[in-house]
Amino acid sequence: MRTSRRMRAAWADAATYIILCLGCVVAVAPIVWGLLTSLKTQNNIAIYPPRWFPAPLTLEHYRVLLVDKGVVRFFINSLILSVGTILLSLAVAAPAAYAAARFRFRGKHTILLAILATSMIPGISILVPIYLLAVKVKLLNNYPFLILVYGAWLVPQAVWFIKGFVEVIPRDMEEAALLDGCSTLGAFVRVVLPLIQPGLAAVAILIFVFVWNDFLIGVTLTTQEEMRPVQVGLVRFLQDTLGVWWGQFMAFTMLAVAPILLAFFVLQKRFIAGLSSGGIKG
Amino acid sequence: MTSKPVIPYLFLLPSLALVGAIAFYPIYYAIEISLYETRFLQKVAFVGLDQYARLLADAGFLRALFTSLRYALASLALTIPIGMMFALLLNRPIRFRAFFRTILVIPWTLSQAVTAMLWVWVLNPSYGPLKYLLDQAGFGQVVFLSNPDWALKIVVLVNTWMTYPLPTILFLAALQTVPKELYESARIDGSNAWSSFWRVTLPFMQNTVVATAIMLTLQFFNMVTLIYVMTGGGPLGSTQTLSLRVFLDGFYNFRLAGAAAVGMVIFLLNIIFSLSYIRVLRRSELY
Amino acid sequence: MRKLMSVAVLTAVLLIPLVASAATEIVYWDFIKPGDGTPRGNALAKHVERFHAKYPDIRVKVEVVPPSSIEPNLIQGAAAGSTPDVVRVYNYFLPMHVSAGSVQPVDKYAEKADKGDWLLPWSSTAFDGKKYALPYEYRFFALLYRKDILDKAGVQVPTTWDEVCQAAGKINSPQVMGYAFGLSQANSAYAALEWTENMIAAAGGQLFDERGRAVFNNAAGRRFFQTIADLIGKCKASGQAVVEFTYNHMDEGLKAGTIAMASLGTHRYLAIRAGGAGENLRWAPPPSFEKGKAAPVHVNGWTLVMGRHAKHPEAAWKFMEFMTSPETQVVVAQAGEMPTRKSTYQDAWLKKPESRFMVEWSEYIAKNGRSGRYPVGWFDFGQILAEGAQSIGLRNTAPDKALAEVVERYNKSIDGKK
Repeated sequence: MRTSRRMRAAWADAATYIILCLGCVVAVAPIVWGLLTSLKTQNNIAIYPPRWFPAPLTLEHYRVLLVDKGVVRFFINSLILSVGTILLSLAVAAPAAYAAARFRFRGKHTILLAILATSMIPGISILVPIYLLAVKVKLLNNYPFLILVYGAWLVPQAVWFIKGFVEVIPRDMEEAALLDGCSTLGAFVRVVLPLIQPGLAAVAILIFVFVWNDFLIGVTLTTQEEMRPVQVGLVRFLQDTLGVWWGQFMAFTMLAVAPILLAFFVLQKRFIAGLSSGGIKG
Repeated sequence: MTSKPVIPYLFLLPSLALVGAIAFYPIYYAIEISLYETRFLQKVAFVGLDQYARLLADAGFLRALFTSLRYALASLALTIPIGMMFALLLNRPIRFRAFFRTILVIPWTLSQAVTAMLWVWVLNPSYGPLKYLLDQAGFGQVVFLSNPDWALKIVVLVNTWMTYPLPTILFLAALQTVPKELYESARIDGSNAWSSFWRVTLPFMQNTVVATAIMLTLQFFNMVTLIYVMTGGGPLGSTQTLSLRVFLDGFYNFRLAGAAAVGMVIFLLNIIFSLSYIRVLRRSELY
Repeated sequence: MRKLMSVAVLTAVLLIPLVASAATEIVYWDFIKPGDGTPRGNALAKHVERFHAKYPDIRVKVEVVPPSSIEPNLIQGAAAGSTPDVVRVYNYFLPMHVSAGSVQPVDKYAEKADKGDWLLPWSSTAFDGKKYALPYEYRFFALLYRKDILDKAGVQVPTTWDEVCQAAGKINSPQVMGYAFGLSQANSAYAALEWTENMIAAAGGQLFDERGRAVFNNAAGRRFFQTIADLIGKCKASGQAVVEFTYNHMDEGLKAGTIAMASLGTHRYLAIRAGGAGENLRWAPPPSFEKGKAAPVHVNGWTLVMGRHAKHPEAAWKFMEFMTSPETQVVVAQAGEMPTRKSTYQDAWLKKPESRFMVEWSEYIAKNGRSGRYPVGWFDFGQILAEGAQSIGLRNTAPDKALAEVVERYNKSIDGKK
């Protein structure tokens, strides 16, 4: 009996590793191809039969990008926009999610559905009027306005997600805190927020990736080169009317992906760590 | 909770203010302009529901509607189970978890434009690496995106590749909140891994699953760039979704009113699907 | 009172030089980033530098806009009351911008301009009798081919479409496509659009009439659509993959040697050579439908327009004039684009043997170049056209039927719009 349980566990582990490895291969193969491309000289890229490994290997594409102040500027812009949106969205959505999860009040469902409904209007329908609005209030090429727009777009879904995370936390701890004389806000900040860290971290990553990878809103609301985000800069390598500069395009892509992976690496400990430190005692 | 009744409203105020200030005018504009006849960006005449009537008579519209549905539902049917599978696997006590997590997430870190260009190249029928491998394996001329029957399937697969990390991350985070004791008691009751999943894990995660389904459905109905760059809606219009149509009509053909009308249809689809998911959630709410 | 007067005079005297020396800043939209290391980027940087030297009181602020965003951004900007001073716009979209009211006529600034020293007539960028744009560069669709592949197959450079069909049929294999063309709906179906307009011109027809209605459901149109059918079917000169081809595919195919021939814009000639084809890439005049006769071609290119709400129209005009002046156009030629001024071709640089090809190009379009008509629904037309042409290859639709459907569908769509 015991040995068969251990054997089953071993099989389960083996299957797990195999599936995960296969998943990794499928996930990463095209990107490895892109990475190798970024290291090839321009002449060696579009040839057939394809040469798998760069020979000669060159860092020229990366060098050209990294010394370009304009490119660095794109990254800084995207960083400001992403972090700004995360801070704004979490600060705004978390309390709203808490209220939605814990309270019953008049008009609750209507308000929540109304908030969610605003993110149901397709983004492309809103792009033109948002642009006209921006021109009217003279807030084109403006970080705060962009952050507000991204926030307005993402907060509704963030509220629904965080609400889900709050709902599964038993109320006893907050009630204990309230009995101890804590205000509702205090209970929220000191008891609930730490417990929903995994959810907050996950939403933070989602927001980061959305803003970092956004093209349409960025190209609509910025006209000056110094304010453009990363994806708009990237598209230039695709839309050069003389053809795609694959080497630089891939190098730029690799550079653009790195911060996301970094953010993920930093944040993933947060949303995994949640478990035992949360004190979900029986 | 017996505290001041105004408190929940205060907590909701920032969200309402933000969404109201930014989204109100654009949404009003988008709805209003669908009731007009436009010329470039100018309103020409109020025509009521004329734009919508024209859509119903347009075979291309009905086809795009069908394509949008196929695209979204097929992608959903793939990404959610795959995301759940990876989340469950990554939640097990195995080694190198951080490594697997980071690698598996990579496809999602690419933007739609990059993903599209990358895959167009991989699938290129003249000099792409996939063609080379198939050549070596002895297959003759294989075409992917030139085939109108296959083009949509391929775009769905690429979309799945790009999107599965999203539910993976969210489900993984949700799995962390499932109390271990519940598994213990389920095991004592004699259930194995499979039934523990259905009886313990899934009910606990259902809010997240529904929220994820809503988010993904919205994303898939709204998606433009991936399809635009990969196929432009072809071949033979087989990958022309409603969202692509709104994009082309709004930004290139300057048929703003028509685009807005199609946009409202997408809005309707989003609402219908979201409400259905929530309805399913409510019905299965055991507590 | 006297004290007030003297203060006022003093203030005025102090302010005047300040105001006079405050540079006028004009905003210029281009898709090329000045000084980005590419030939055109360096050329643009040079233009701006020389302009600043010539007009020290005008500063040019270049804003880089992705090419696919130029039309939407300009039209939306005009609707919101804010446009740049000068914009680089492709000639296809001039009617669209004139119709949308996003650009303004420049006749009143152009009174003293030299209207005769242009490769194509002054009127080619005029609409309703008003001049709107100055052509900055030209390109036309030539036959670009890989000499090495043609030599290996023992094939002569074709001069008619029948010859293309046969020659490409001989070369075509799963590894190398004989003659490539692009029918994809992606990238706004540009490849299909530009090939079609030139083929119809070569066949002796025209795409649209003055009202913007499609009028090529005739012998010319049938000839063209039959050629598509023959290339894919009878001669097997092109693979079915053309259905997904865009310019990128043909570009890279020629660089990689997986495509033997394609009709592409002359502006790609140098870039394809530099990108891997080297000396093997050659150009030939576009094939015609009649042996011995040269094929008419449509001449297209980027132009400079003045935004409707330009803040400094006089300064804007000076910039437009400067960029299209014969001296600046030499720099344009050096960057690989064809100059638009006749006198530029007398410059020493263009007399050099290495630049001979550009002179030959200019001679070809001087003799055979035409201007096309581009209706406001150009993008829409592209989608309809691409789909119709694709069905020939994918569904074996008879060419005549496909042609009739394309024309009918397009005309119906603009009827609905008015």
